[in-house]
Amino acid sequence: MKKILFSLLGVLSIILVPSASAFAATTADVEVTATPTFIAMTNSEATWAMGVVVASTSYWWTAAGTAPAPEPFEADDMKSTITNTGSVAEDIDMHVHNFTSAGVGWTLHATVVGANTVVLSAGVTGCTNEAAMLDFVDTTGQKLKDNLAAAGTIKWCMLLKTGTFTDGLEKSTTVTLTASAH
Amino acid sequence: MKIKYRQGNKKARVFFSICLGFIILFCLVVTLITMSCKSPEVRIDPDTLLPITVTDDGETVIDNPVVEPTIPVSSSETYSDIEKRMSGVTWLSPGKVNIDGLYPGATGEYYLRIHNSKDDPATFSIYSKEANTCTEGYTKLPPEFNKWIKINPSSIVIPAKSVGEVLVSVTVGLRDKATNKKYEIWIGAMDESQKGLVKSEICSRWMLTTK
Repeated sequence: MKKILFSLLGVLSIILVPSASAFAATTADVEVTATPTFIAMTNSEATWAMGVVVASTSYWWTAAGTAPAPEPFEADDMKSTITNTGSVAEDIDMHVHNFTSAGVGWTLHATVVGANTVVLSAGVTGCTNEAAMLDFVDTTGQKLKDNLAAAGTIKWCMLLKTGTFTDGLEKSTTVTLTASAH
Repeated sequence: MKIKYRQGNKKARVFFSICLGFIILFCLVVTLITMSCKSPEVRIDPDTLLPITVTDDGETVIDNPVVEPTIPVSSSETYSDIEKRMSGVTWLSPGKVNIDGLYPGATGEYYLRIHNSKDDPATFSIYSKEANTCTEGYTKLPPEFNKWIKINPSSIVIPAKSVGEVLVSVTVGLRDKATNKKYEIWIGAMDESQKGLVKSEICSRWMLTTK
C-alpha cells in the first residue's frame, strides 16, 4: 500500500511540476498589426533670417515680413507651404523649444513677453487674426493642421514678439513640424 | 480476516491503479493544451507585411487577414507599387502599428521602413516621443514605461534613393502594473542633415494594448 502511495506521489510530482511551469508560461497571443501607409511631408521654407532684433517688438515670418492683411489670413500672405506628400491624410503638429544662447536664453511664454521671455506664434491660411494664432511654450506640440489630405497643402506663418534682454548674445531655437497619420 | 484483508488490498490496488491512470491522462492532456496555447513570438515580415510566428523549427508565415493594405489609390495597387510611386519622397512606413494582448514580459516588434529620397546618403535619427494627440480610447504612454520601447538602430545612415529598416520592439516590464490599458506612443524619424530654423519629422503612431 505504501509503495503504491509513494509511486503515486512520485508520478504526480513528475507530471505536475512541468505542468505548473507550463501554466506559468501560458499566454494568449500578442498580435501585431500595421497599416502599411506612408507618412511624408515637405515644408518649402526653413530659414528665418531675423538679424538683430529690438526689445518689445513684433517680427513676422510672412511673405512680406509684415502682419497679414486683410484678415482672416490669406494664402498669399503666408510664408511657407506644407505639402502632405504621404499616401494618407495626415495631422501636422508643431513644437518649439526655448531659445538657447551662450548668454541668457529666452523662455517661450504662451501669452506675454517679459525679461528674456518671448512669445512665438504660428498661424495658417484662414486664421481669423493674430489673437487666434497658436502660441507655443517649450516642447509642447500643438496641431497646426488637422486631417490634411494626401497631396494637400497648407500655408503658414509665424510671429515672434520679443521681450527685454539682459545680454546681446545670439539666440537660437528650433521649430519642428511633425507629420503623423490622421 | 486475513483473506478478506488481502482481497481488500487487491481491490484497493486496482482502484488506485485506475485513479493513477486517470490522473496521468488528465495531466498529459493539460500539459498538451497549455503547451499548444503558449504564445509564440510574433513578428511581421517586412516584405509581405504578414505576421510571422517564430517557432522552434524556424519561421512560419501565417496568413493573417488582419494586415490589409489600405493605402492604394486604386484597389489593384500593391504596397510595392506605392513604394515605387513614392520613390521621389522621403517617407516613413507604416503610419500606424497596433500591438494587442501585451502582458508582462511579452514582446511585440515591427520594422519601420524609412526612405531617403535625396541624391546623397542621409543620417536619420529614430526615437520614441510622447504622442502629441492620441487615438480615441488611448492615452499617452506614461514616461515610466518608455523603457518598454527599444529602437535598433536609433541612428541609421541611409544611402541615396534607398530604404533603411529599423526594428522597434515593445517589451512590457515583468513588474510593471499596466493591465487592460491602451497606450499610444509615437516613433519619430528625422533627417539630421536638415538646415535652418524649421525642421520636419515624420512619425509612426504605435497603439499598445495590454491585458
